[in-house]
Amino acid sequence: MNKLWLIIKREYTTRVFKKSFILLTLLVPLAIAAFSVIVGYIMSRNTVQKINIAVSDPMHMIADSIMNKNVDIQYTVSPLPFETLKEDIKTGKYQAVLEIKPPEDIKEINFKLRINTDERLDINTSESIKSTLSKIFREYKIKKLQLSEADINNLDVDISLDRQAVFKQDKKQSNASNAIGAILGGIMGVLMYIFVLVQGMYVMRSVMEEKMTRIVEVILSSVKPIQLMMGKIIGVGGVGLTQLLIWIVFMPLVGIITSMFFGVNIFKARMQANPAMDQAMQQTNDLGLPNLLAELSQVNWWFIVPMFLLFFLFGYFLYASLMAAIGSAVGDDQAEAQQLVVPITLLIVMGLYIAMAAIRAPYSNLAVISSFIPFFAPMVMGTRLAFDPPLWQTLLSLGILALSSYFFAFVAAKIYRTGILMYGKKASFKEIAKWIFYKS
Amino acid sequence: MSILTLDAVVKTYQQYKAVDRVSFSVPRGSIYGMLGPNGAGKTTTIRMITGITHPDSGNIYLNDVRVNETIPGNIGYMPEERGLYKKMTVWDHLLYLAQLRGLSEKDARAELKFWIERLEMKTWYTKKIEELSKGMTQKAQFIATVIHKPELLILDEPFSGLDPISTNMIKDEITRLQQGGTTIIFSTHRMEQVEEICERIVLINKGQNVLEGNVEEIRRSNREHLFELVTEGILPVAFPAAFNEISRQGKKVRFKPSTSITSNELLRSLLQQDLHINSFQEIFPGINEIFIKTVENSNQQ
Repeated sequence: MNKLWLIIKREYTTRVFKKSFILLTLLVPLAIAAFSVIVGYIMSRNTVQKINIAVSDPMHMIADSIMNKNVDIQYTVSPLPFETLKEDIKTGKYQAVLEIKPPEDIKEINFKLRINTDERLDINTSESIKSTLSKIFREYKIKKLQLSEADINNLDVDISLDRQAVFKQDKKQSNASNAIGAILGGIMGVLMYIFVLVQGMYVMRSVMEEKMTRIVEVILSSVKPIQLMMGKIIGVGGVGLTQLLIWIVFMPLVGIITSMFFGVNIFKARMQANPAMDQAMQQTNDLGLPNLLAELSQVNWWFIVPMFLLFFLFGYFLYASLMAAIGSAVGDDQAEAQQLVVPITLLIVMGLYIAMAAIRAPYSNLAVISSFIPFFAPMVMGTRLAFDPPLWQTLLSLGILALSSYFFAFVAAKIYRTGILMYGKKASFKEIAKWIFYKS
Repeated sequence: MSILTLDAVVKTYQQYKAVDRVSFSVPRGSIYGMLGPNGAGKTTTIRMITGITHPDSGNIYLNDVRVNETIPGNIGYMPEERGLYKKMTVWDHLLYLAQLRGLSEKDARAELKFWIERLEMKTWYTKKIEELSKGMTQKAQFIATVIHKPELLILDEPFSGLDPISTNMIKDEITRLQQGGTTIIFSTHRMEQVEEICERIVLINKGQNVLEGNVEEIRRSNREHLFELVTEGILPVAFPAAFNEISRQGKKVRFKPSTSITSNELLRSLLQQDLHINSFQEIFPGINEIFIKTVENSNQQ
């Protein structure tokens, strides 16, 4: 036990106090913030061309000056005829001339309007002009049909479902709780994915390095292979957790600072990648802060957080053991290691995709069944936890995951024990499978 | 009294018998040579002794205790292919290995200070392993092997890649440790070192031990009744046919008479010749020749 602790300590300290770790840990939040600020800036800049447009309105169709709201596109409404105004393009007073006429038939809905210009109109600009014009036509029609603006607005309705349990005793479910579940679940799934993938790779690389430099033989004359493997997995996992904790503390800080200085909500920028989460984000934004806080306090943190950590740990152990086994089997052949890693990476990525689908439908068959497949459970169940799944499903999923991570750690230790001391020969899958049944 | 005994130890990898009924015992306090060509099974044998792998059958006794499935703590092992964590400093690394071998942190520090001074590594211990020369790395390895004061030291090719000065320094340390009561198993295929250092040897070939015993006795028992005469003055054109002269190099003549003629008889008849004898001796074969002959013989079988 003491030796295991020594190994963990070495794995942890040599990594955490490395310059590259400290730099990476500090730079990643900053990089994300910078990235979000830039992307946010680009997205928020819906630029149009600077253009002066003369609108020929001989029939006085335009009621009031609703026009000049856009600073870049300048409209000048004039009663002069189209052909006269066209001359002004030559002098440079206007870049474009537009003709507007009231429709002959009030029921007509398709209009083709003439615009004369030598400028090329880009999409943003023409969209902006079109929307301005359609507003003019809308107002004109409302007036002609003698409708009131208020009545028109009343036509748009907004429906939300108020779900109430009939016979079952459970919590009231609101739109907001779904939204919070989606955000929470999404974050959990992604965290799990990144952590398992990145730290698993670290474990593999570190095992390969030990085999390559032949330090193993020195170490293994003092400790058992399983101790070395477990020490490494725990140590590297600890490093990952440390980094995660630093980021959890750091990210909101960085987020607040950037939104204060640049007016960009970096969380919002990140979420836009996933439509379900984006929608959820919108809903929480609509809620307002007091309601949001009330909803957040409704979440059963005392259950979700420990459960999430358990899934996190077992999931990490499962994948890290497999990665360690691969590292021990290949030694110094990077290309071969990559080949063997592909199936495992695919499993992790599939898990993430199922988890993303589970945000929209956390009670679907796909989500429930994947929760019982240990390779997907960490991501999928991690996501579903936020949606208050039936207790038996959570426990069954955790049980299966725990047993299989134990099983795979056991198998991996067997492979590791033989593989780490094998040099020269290239090991086939069949051979690796045989190692499992070797006596040490 | 032997500190280590191997009794018909077998280790099989798939169909391949890496070690096949190897038996020998190492007397306490001796320097014991383990010889064999590449791939003979030396490393596998050592790995079983150190508990890195375990025998399929047979027994290993350390101080008369069966240690087949354990990692004995009182062994120091320096593998031939030696690796260290490149990014760690010498001090941190050795401290780590010392603690893994069961030393408390305090003891480890004290021992480390002693050894760093002794092997003249004072300017080096704050450096990272990757900055060290090969010789320095070797010294660090040596410290890692002996820092926990093992009773039994197993050194696999300890001098490969060392310059003469470092070689002597390590050699002196090995001698000093032996005088302090440490038993040393010395695995190599450098025969001149075996003759110089080892008292007993075991020769392993194709997983089997083909020769075991005291170095002097082995040489004696492998002698071929070969004599060398060095003289001054003029040599006769021919010696009596019974002498069976086989080579003549300047003033050096070698005889290989039939075994019925003893060395005394040979010398007596040489004295009757008109010669000025500088030396007369029986030639014992070197371990190198015995090694090659034995390996070739066992390969033919």
